[in-house]
Parts: sequence; structure tokens; C-alpha cells
Amino acid sequence: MSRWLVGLLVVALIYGVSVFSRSLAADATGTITGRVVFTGEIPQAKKIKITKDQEKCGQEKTAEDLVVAPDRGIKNAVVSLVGVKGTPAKPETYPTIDQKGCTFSPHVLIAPAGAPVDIVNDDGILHNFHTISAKNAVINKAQPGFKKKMTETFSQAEIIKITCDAHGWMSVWLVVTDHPYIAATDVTGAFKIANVPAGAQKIEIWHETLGKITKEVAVKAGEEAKVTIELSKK
Amino acid sequence: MKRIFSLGAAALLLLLTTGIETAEIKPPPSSQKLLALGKQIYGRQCVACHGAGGRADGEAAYLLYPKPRDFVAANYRLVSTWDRVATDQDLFDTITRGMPGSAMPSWGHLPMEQRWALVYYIKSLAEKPLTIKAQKKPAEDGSGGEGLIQVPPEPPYDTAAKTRALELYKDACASCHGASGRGDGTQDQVDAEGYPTRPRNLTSGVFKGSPDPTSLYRHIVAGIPGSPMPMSDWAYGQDAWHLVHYVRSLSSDTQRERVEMKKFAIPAVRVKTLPDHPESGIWRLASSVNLHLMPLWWRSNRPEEVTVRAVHDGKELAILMVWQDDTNDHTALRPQDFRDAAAIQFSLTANPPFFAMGTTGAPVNIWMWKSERQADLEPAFQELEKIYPNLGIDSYPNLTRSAVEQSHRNALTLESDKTFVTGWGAGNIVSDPQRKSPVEDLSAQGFGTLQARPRIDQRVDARGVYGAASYRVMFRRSLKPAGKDAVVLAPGTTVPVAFAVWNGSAGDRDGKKSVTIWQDLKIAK
Repeated sequence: MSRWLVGLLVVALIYGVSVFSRSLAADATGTITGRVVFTGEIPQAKKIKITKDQEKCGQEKTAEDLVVAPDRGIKNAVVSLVGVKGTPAKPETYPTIDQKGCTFSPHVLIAPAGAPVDIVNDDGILHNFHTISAKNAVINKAQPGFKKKMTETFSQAEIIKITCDAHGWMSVWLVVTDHPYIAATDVTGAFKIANVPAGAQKIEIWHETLGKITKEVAVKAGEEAKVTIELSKK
Repeated sequence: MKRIFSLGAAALLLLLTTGIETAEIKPPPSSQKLLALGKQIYGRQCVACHGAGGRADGEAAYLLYPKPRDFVAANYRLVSTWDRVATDQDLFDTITRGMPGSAMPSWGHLPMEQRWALVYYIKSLAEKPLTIKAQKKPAEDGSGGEGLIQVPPEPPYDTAAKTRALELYKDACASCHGASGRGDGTQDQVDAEGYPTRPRNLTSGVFKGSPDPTSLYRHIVAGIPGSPMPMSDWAYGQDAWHLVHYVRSLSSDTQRERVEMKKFAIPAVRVKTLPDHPESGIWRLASSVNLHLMPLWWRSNRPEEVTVRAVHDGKELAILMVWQDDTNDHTALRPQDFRDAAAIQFSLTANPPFFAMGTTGAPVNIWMWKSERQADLEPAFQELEKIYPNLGIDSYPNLTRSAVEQSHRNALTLESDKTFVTGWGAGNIVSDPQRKSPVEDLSAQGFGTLQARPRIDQRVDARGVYGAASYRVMFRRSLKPAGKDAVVLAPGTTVPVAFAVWNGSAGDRDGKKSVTIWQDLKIAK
């Protein structure tokens, strides 16, 4: 009888400690917000002439490899913490790459490692989903119009470029992450990473054409650390 | 008793034959001995293209398109697994059949043990082991399969199947391979190494992997890793079979066989009188052999075959080469022009060295005929003045006079003292304005080592004619060699021989050419 009581007490104690430490950890986090901006002359968005499947793809596309807003914000840059561990948040629905009008959307997608990613073909014509990856096995799958949806899983954290060999202008970047401290910039160049452990943190900023840089950020518990990151053409 | 004995003998015979059969099919397991053998054959037959360390950086690699495979990165194209990783059998099949559409020839003439030795050796060069997952059946929609792709039984190709095949082809293949299969869909594509590539013209019969139905089934389902050709797992089951049947219907067996590099026997029959002209009726006494050619830098417009006949009269041997060429490119005077040419290469030993121009220490003897040299002999020497009239005007032109009235430079003539005409004086056969033969007798020990044999040993005669969009070129030489490094053509022997053809208007010159692998020239007694 007494043995049972002791057992119960121990369980309760462990539970209490874990709850306490968790709330402590939550207290000891801050947020990193900021903008990724372009320095130098703002480039004109490139136009791509479409020569194939025009009834579905249209006549012209605007390249998405470098999208800079008039106020210099860079879209589709990815900001992430370096050297951290953690479980990425499980999305409620599978992250989805949509092929519509012969464009992959979104152009940059963040997906947790090991989680399935839906690949949707809304065009009703052949696309092929061709990954260029080092850590994950290379996938190159035909997705004819009748194959509306495929699901693939990426187990290793890595930035993967995905192309369609049938339509050379199509590309998407899948950022597979093994921690939750990551965000992509919106059209204004803004991003927000919440629940960042307090202390000196190192962030890495990646952009598909402007490359990669790192920056030190001091994160204080319960506060918002504001950073502005400048990227330019090399 | 007698009956028992014969029964026993029959059983023994059966045992023996089945034993032999399984030995033919079952691959020998890898061993240190086989690896050593593989390394030795690799050094002899593979190094020139794939490089000593297997990094696709051999001496000949720059001449080749598509590029040779890198055995260290080990990203193989022809796979039969859901994992898109090559099995031992895949590698063995590729070595055996070669890769039409590239300069990888067939090595099917090597004994099976040697080919397996090569499989094990090149696998040992890979930086990451080639692992194939345990067998797992794919789901209903074809996804999630692992291990070898199990090919289901072949359904009949009836009207309904054909309708389905056409539908699938239109939806899944036509985007790249074109509506009619001519490879005229998406053109700007690159492979995993960044080299430009194009969808295959399915009507040409060129299949990198074997076009046999089972292999083709797997290549359609698995795709071709490293190339834009994707996996089509959704076709697993009947649909892939319908596509196999349709794709095969776009080309013929003849076309498909013609692109495989094969070894043939060329009988040199004995005749009373040797032909003295490429169109002589005597050639009819010899059987013609169609040899398969491959361009080293692959292109679709290429000579596919060269037809060869050989005869001898006990003193001299004559070989006739016939091949198609739409243009008679017989001058190469302008920098942008290249001439048509043909060459025969002989091994000096029964066991030939590497088929592309031999190797250091193992010279080959090459007879090379050039259309321009032929044109030089009849009716006049091809000189720059022929293409650029009045090129030789050396003085400041007198504009009051016509071009032909201008004073000319003191050009070299046959009366010039050749001591002061460097190449001619040095005995270079290429510089000799009095050449009697359109053929050069050469010697080589690997790439970049081609050299003329001594002038006094130049004994090969040749004559080439062009007509009806094809060349007929005959070569003649005495059976006995003259000088060192000349091939001995003894009656009753088999001499390894290979052929090459250049198409000038396609920019062929030097290493840019179409070649055969070693063939057997069987000189009758």
C-alpha cells in the first residue's frame, strides 16, 4: 500500500517539475522579427517568354528568382536559427506545392522533416516533379494531368530545388527543416520567428540568387529582437 | 547392363548440361580474384574514357557526348528498381549491351566472367555503396514500391490496349517525346551533371537501355535517373505494358539492332585477280558485312553502318568500305571546312589493345583515306587558289588592270628546291605534292600519338569514288608488311580490325568521328 503511495507521489513530483520547467522555458524565449532588404539598384523583374502549352501556361511569366518590393523588401528569403534543436511544428494539413498555370506555388515552401508534402497538379497537363537534392533521395516523377495529387516525404533537413523538365522555367525551393525556428519573408521582406530561446543566437539568411549570410542576434526573454538584414548581388 | 549404362550416361550428360546452363546464368560471386581480374580489364578497356580512378576523366572523355559515367559518384542511368539504384544485373547488362546513343560500346564479346569482374570492380569504386532496399510491393496507385520492379505478366496488345496506350502517351509522354514520338517536344533540357540533353526520338530505334519488353517496362516505370526522364510509378501494372508495346511499335527490330555495337566476322575470300576499282565486279565474290558505327560525339544525323568486303589473291589484300554520306566534302582549304575520310585500323596482335587507337606499348596500324587526297590525284592538286582565286596577288593591286593581269607572287612549284620547303623536304607525306596514293599508312599508340609510318614504307594504295550519296573506297596492300609496326596479313589467320568514317560537313575531324569496335578479319587460306 505504502509502496503505491510513494509511486504516485514520485509521478506527481516528476509531472510538477516538468510543468514547471516547461513554463520556465516558455518564459525564457523571445521573438526575432525583422526585414530582409536589398541594397543596390533595385533590379527589374525578369520576364520569361512561354513557348510551350500556352493555352495552360500563358504567354509570359515574371521570374520569381529575385522579387524586390519598391521599399527594398526581398520576398522568399529564408531566415533560420543555426545550431538549434527542436521539433518543428506539425502543420494541420500537409504542406502543399501546387502546379497551376505552369508555375509552382508557393515559390519557397518550408516543410518539417519527415512530414508528407502534397504535390498537386491543377493544370491537367504533364508536369514532372524533379528534385535536386544531396541528402534526400532524388525524386523525378511524372505527374500527368490525370494524376491530380502525389505525396512525397522528405526526411532530411536540406534546401531542395525542384524543377519541371517539361517546362524549364518552373522551379520551387522546398526548405526541409528539423527545428521550428525558421521563417520565409513575405512580399514586404518581413519575417517573424517566435519562441526563440533567450541568449545569443546566430541566424542564417538564405536567398536562392543572393546566397547565404549569417548574423548574431541577442534574444531577451519576453522581448522582440528586431533585425534588418541587407542582401546584395555579389 | 548396357541399357543401365546408357541411362547412366544420359543422366550424367543431363547433369553436365544443366550444370553448364546454370553456370551461364548464375553470376559468379564477388571475390578478391574477380576484383583483381576486373581491375586488370578495366585498365585495358575502360580507363581511356572512364579514367584511372573511375571519375569519368579519361583521356578520351572530352571527345565524348554523352559523357562517360563517373563510377565514384555512381549515379547510374539504367536501373530496374523502385529505389532507382542499379542492381549488379543492371550493370552487367549495360556492359554487355553497351549504351546506344552514347559511345559506350558493347562488351558482349568478353567472357561472362570478365564482365562480372568488371561489375564488381566498378562497384568497388563507388564512394557510397549501391544499396537496394528490401522488396516492397507498391500501393494500388504505384507509389511506395521498394526493391526490384516486379514486371507483371504481359497482357495482349489488342485494340483496347492500343487506345489506352495512345491516351497515356498523349498525356504523359508527348510533352517531351513529341506527339509523333520524334523527340520534338521540350528541347532545352539538362541532365543531373548540367550537360544539355534532349528527349529521345522514339522512331530512331536508339534505346540506351535494352528495348526488350521487360527492360523497357522497368525503364518506363523507374525512369532514367540523372536525366529528365521521370519515374512513372502510376503506370505500374497494365498501363506500363501498353506504353512498352506502343513505344516499341514506333521503331523496328532492324533499327534497334543496328545501333548496338557488335563484333562481326569479315571473311577475306581468295580470288584469282584482285579488283582494281571500287566498282569492280570482282567484289561480288566476297560477302558483304554491315558493321555498326557509333559517333563518339553522338548526333542523330550520322552514318549508321559501313558495309565491308574483303578479298585477297595470296599476294595482296583488298578491302572495300561503302557508306552513305549526303555530301561529297572533298576540300578542306577554308578553315571552316572539313573533309570526308575513312580509316581501317589493324591490331598487330591477336588479342587487340583498346579499340580506340591502341595504347602505349601496343601500337595499331591505321590506313586512312581522305577524300581531299583523292581529289588531289584527279584531275588536279587542290590549292587555295581554287577557292580563293587571285589569293596569291602579292603586289599592291593596280586598279587600272583586271585581277588576272596583276603580277603574282613567286609561288612554289614542283620545280622549287624542296630542301627549302620544310614539310616536303623533311619527308612529311602530308606535304608531298607528288603523292601517288590518297591513303596514309599510320601508326598510333593511343590518343594524340598518330604518326605517319616512314615514307619508304608507305605501300597502301586506295581509290575512292563518290556517287548516289555514298562512298565506295577500296584499300590494297601486300599481305607482307613493309617495315616496323605494319600489320601482317597472313592467309589462314584472323586479324582484329576496326573502321572509322568522318563526315566533313558535319564537322567531323580527328577524334570527332564514327567508329566500329574491333571486328574479326578472317583471311582465307
